[in-house]
Amino acid sequence: MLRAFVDGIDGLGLSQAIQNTAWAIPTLQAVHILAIAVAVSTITILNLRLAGFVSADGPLRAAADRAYVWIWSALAVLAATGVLLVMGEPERALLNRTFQIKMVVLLLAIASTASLRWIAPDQEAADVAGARRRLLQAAAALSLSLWVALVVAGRWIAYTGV
Amino acid sequence: MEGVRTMLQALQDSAIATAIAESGWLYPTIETVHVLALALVVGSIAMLDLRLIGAAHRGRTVTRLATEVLPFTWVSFGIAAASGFLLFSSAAVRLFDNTPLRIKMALLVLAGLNMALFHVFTWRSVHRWDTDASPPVAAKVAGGVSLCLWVGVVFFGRWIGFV
Repeated sequence: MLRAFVDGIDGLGLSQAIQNTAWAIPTLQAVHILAIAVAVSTITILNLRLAGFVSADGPLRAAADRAYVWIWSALAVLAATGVLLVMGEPERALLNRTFQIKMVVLLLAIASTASLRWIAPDQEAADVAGARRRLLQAAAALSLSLWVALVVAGRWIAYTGV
Repeated sequence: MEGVRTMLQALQDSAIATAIAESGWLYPTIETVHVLALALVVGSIAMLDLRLIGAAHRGRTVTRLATEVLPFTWVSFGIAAASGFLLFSSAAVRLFDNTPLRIKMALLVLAGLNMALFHVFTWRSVHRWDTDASPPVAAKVAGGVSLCLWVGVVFFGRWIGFV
């Protein structure tokens, strides 16, 4: 069934166009990487603010909200370029075990990142009690780890067979 | 030119370079470290550049943002450079002639030059425009040029493997 889906995507006009344009896939990948840069940098700095290593300039929830604008925008670009990349190489992507794992990790990363806002209190870092702070640090570390795992999985697609 | 090729061959024949070239997992692992490091370099520089252009983070003072962000930039750049060198060494002779790689190196030099010029000249007066949402033209140009160069570094970096 997945095979039929792959063949179906492969036959689309846009897919063929991407596949037949030499510069399409490297360009899409480069844009994908730039969006990764925005997402990973933002999440890294947000992590440090939530953990109290870098000043958050105000309540933590507000810091999370500011970071989200960048993270979700980057995610939109990642999704768009991702879809186009799959259309450019449907078999290499969809039938690849590493790609499938990456998609599961993606869902976890989105959920984990979204949860940060609810865990982040409407207080400054210095005012957050010990237990709450540790929970916050753990949640932030988890979300960053999942994004790193995403990048690892993304790179490994090229090195694992179907 | 022969001297250069001899050196490159020696680099490629070194124990580490050979290990990377022959291992099934070492190259992808170093590559992944390279991607993560460059993500932090480009992402952190972009934050500062967008501030210099006046397009984002306008509420933060420039010096404060720079102080927070630049340590990341430097540490990540070190890791990116080290991992990049290791990747290069595994196929040094062939990659020396790789056009996208040469362009990428040239862009990196230009980006460094841009940063140096900005630091020597425009940064001198930063206390005067530190809190301005819209910095002076010189700062905007530096930020804009920097963004373009780093985007170019990523594009040509990706092209290396496709040529």
